[in-house]
Amino acid sequence: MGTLYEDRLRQHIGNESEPIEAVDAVCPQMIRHWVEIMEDRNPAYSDPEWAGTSRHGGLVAPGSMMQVWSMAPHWPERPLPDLPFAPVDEALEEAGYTEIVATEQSQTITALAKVGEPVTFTVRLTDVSDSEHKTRLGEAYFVTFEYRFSDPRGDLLGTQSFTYMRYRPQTEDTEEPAA
Amino acid sequence: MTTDWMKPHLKYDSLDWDDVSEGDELPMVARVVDTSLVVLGAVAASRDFYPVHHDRDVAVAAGAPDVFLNILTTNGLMASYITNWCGPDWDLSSISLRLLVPAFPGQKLTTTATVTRRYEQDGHRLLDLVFCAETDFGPHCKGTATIKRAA
Repeated sequence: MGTLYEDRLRQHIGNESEPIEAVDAVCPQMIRHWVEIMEDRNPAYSDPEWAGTSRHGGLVAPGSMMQVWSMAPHWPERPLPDLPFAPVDEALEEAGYTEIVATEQSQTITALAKVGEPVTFTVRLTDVSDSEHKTRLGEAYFVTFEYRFSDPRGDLLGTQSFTYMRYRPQTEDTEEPAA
Repeated sequence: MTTDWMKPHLKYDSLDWDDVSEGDELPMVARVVDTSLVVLGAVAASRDFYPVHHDRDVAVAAGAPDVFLNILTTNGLMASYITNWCGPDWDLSSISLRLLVPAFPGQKLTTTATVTRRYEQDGHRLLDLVFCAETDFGPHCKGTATIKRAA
């Protein structure tokens, strides 16, 4: 059972953002950056001739890349609607859980985003751990949220669940003294 | 858009339904993790500008020995490993993974997978797989995936 502190964090579970349009429409340049690093050999992403006569009807983006369309710009900060994990994140950071590391993710791919079309997404907070966990890196809370990605017709492209851990880094001061 | 130079490196043929059985193992693929893969995976491929993936000083201050692969790159490497095997007539319909040991520069990531289930559903042929990417210090990630193609 969670304490009052955890109840305060968990009250945000279920909150969902307004739809957010990705900064860039799906484009061959960003796809190619992905393909080059992953060494992906699928012609649906890289060969317009093949893709055009395929079931995709043209170049598409890898489904595994869906989260990339949601990534924040480096500069300047983009004003976004209130994201549902922001209050949880701020509360944990203030409490000393200053470091973040991703731990799990899961994608369900319904359709592939077409080149030239913008992706729209929402973010929903789906879980916050109900107690502090002891981990290799330090005491931590786990936060899980889910993206839903849609095409311009409102059709679902896919969903992605994402869990990260916010932890209080272990320092020599916090380690148990040797017996 | 000219990508003719890429064509020799693309895969146009696909895995045949009759050539796959439950228990089949995918060919192992090894990939060296170096700082370039970590940084380019985060910054170029996935637009993940969180500094622990490109700035060693920040990574060390956060308690890590070096920059480490971001989860988007891990996921992309696993997804492409599977779809490079099955070919473009198949679609990746789901992929799920858990990160274990972080992947730091200097390690070799050795990826393997096994077909756990072969079945037909709603006019599609499907394969479920389990996969794992090992480092010298233990598994970097473990996960499951499903691919499908029209029957």
